[in-house]
Amino acid sequence: MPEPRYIRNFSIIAHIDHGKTTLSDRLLQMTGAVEQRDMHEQMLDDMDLERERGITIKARAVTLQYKAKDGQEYTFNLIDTPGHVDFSYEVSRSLAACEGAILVVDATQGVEAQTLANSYLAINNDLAILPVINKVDLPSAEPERVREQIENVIGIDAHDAVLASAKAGIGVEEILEKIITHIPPPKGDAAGPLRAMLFDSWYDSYRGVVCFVRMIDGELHKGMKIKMMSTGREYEVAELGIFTPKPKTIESLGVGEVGFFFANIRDIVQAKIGDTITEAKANPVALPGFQEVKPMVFAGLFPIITEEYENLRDAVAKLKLNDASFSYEPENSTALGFGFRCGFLGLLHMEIIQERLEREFNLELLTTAPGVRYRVLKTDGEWIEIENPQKLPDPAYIAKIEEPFFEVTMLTTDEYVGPILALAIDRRGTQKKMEYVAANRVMIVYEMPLNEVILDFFDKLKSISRGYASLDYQFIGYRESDLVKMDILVNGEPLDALSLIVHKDKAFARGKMLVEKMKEFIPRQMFEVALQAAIGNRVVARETVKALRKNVLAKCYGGDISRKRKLLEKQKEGKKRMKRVGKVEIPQEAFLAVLKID
Amino acid sequence: MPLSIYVHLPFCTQHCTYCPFAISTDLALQDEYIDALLREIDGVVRASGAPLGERRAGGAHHSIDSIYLGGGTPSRTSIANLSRLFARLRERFDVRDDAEISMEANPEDVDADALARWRALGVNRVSIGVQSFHDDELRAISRVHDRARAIAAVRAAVGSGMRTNLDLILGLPAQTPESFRETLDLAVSLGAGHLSLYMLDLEEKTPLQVQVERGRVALPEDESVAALYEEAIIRLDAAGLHQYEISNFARDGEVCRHNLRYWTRGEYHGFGLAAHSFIGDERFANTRDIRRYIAESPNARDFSETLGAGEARRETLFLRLRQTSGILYEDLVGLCGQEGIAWTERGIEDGWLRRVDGRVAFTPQGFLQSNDFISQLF
Repeated sequence: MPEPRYIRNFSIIAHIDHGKTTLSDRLLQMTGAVEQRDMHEQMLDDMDLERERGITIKARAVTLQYKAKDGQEYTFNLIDTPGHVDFSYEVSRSLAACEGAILVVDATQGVEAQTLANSYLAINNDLAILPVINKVDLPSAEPERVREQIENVIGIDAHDAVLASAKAGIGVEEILEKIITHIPPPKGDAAGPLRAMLFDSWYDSYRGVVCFVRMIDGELHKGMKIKMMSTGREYEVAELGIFTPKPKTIESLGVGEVGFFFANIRDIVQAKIGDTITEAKANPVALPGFQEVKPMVFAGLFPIITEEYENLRDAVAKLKLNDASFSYEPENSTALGFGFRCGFLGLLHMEIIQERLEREFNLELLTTAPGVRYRVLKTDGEWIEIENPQKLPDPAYIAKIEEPFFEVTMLTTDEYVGPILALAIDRRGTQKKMEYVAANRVMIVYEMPLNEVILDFFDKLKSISRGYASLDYQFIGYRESDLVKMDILVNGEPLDALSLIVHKDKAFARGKMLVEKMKEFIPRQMFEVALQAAIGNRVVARETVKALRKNVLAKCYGGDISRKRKLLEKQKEGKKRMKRVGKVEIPQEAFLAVLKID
Repeated sequence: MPLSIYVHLPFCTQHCTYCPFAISTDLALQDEYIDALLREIDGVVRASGAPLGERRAGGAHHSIDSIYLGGGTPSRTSIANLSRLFARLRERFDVRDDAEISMEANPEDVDADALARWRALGVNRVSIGVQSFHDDELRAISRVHDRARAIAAVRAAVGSGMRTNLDLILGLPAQTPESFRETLDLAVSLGAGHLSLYMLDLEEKTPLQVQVERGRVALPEDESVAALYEEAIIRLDAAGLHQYEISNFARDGEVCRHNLRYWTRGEYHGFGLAAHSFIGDERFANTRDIRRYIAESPNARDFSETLGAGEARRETLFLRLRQTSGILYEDLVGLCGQEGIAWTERGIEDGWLRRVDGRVAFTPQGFLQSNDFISQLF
């Protein structure tokens, strides 16, 4: 068991494409964890390791041995962090498992919003930050300008930032040495009762839940009876290990170490990220920072083929085993039949879940437009939470509605400030801060309803800034808003799954744009299709998809029957992604039209 | 079971802009092409273990009850070559005396002499590619003939006593409701016993499709075409030309036996460029490349598929439903179960379908929507 003073635990913080993966690979290679011949692209990102028993585990922390220039052998634990704002709680827990972070900034690009947000998370967790300016070998590199940005924007001393090129191997040795000198060793009480922080967990269908832990106090060994402090549930450690990056079974973990264990945990909900693990009989003070993760974004998932409901039910239950942050409950739509109202951490998480359901369970799904959870105070004084617009009580019974607000931070070059401000205002944003953080770089902070952020805000931001603006956001609380429910009617029948909650001042414009957009997505069919947006009984917008007057293979002779048959089969195939509502075939895109409004 | 034979004669004087078929304007290839065709006829008969339609004593098995010469422009083929072709077909197959023998012809090739020579070869039905009786419409699609030539050709054919079909197109560039009605009325009054009235399908990569896409040629609105189609069904019916398939109309006794073979999933063998065959449960076709066909015949196939139960079911559905006789309700239920029952109810309620004597068939409005509606059963 290594002595804590020879252990260094760290993460790498970087914007996408700034070189995190390349640097990770380079560290693995330079410490001999991976032989040159085994090197392949993206060692850490693509670490579905097949174990001897056929178990697949994702390596979220790799233990490396580094012999420093002082002759001493050090143990480095490199802890991977998810790279998306949806998972900021998970990121914060991974960072909390570290004493330091390597901040990688692209010398040609500069600091981005995501980097900024994660750097703040690291600073708030008291991590030592080791700045690395990467890609200095590129002709367009401006290391001095980037160094200045790091100091101005993030507010840390960057005078001795490592100038590196992970790709070319420049500066990597300096980084390894600076990990030792800049990042403090872990501290903890070896004699005290066990305290370990669970920073990631993963469900394996053979062995149950894999828990990744950072040891704080005491010792964890095989056969030990442990307890999850948030639930009080007890388990026995069946197996302990580390990734080097190959999984390796070990007997125990001590203060400051990072590893994984199995304890025959069958339900991932019992392995809560951020939870403190202790000994069965002990009752120490839990580690700070634990939160129950709550879904923020909600959408209905329905099978395109009604008969697949049972399969979908099995699939969401299985997926839930694997993903504690995903929630679901049955939803019955008159238009779409039986499905589930699902909760996600964010839009990316939603896409991941939908893709997994479709790919791993071979389902064809229809997703309704994402929404948020509203808090409603009824006139009788009762507070209720609404995740499904259909469940909003009649306006007569509503005293007030609150919606979740986020603080949205955007970093951009100054030429795009105008359009970004216009977008933020259009999305009901309130400006909190706007300042130059470098010569032509502006940080813009707005408070905005989450509902406006999830409606395609990121794509819009990217497009108006030609990809230059970056974004980060965090929850700040619920606030009262003047909201109404808007229904969408197809040929006079309300399509319940399309109902949405909108701000009263924007209802008219949004209804108009929504039905216009839906009209684009709904192909002409045998009947005229009337699309209406209504608030209560008042229709605020109407569009008509004209009937297709003819759709016929006039000529069918000469004996080429195969081609004609295939044409009709193709026509049928094209409808598979459409949901039949009454007589109208509605494609998936129409259900998400609200996301595509300009 | 009787068998039908299709022979593709691809030569044309020029390429009409709407035509997607395998054609060639290189008339010099004609002799070589016919040689290749004869090799294919020989080859197929030799290769099959139980010879198709081979002449045998009694001759009932696999006898040929229809031959169709399609193109291209079969009327561009020389009499010498047509003679070689028919001689070989009769030598190799048991062509019944009452066989329907159709030949496509363009108006510029049809006169009393030509008709007499074709009749001498056994041709008893001529299908004339009139398309329209209006010169501006004909020019717009690069036809060779004009109104006068078309009228003369139809008069000659009808006058010769040969069964006569006219191909007409609805939805041509420059066509108006008035000009279309006039074409239709003229076709009826000239005494044609059969009309193939095709709504223009804009086929991918045809010159016309490119012209329309680039905005150089405008087509009549779908709305107008659909209304004229419905109107034509009524007008033709009143004139004694009864609709029996989406695009086909005939006087009593003039229904085309050969085309019915396709729609009833009967067997047929196609010879020549891009010709399709359906034998047993196999559909196959020759290459569309004329040089390859000439070089490689009888081994010039480039497509074949063996139909499974699903394909067979879908074919039965869409081919039967193309016909005004439709499909027996019990057959439909047999093929589609509960879905077929719901489909029928939906279709009748909305006016796409009608039920007559235990059969389910499309209404004229239903034919116009038939792709969408049939594919719901697929």
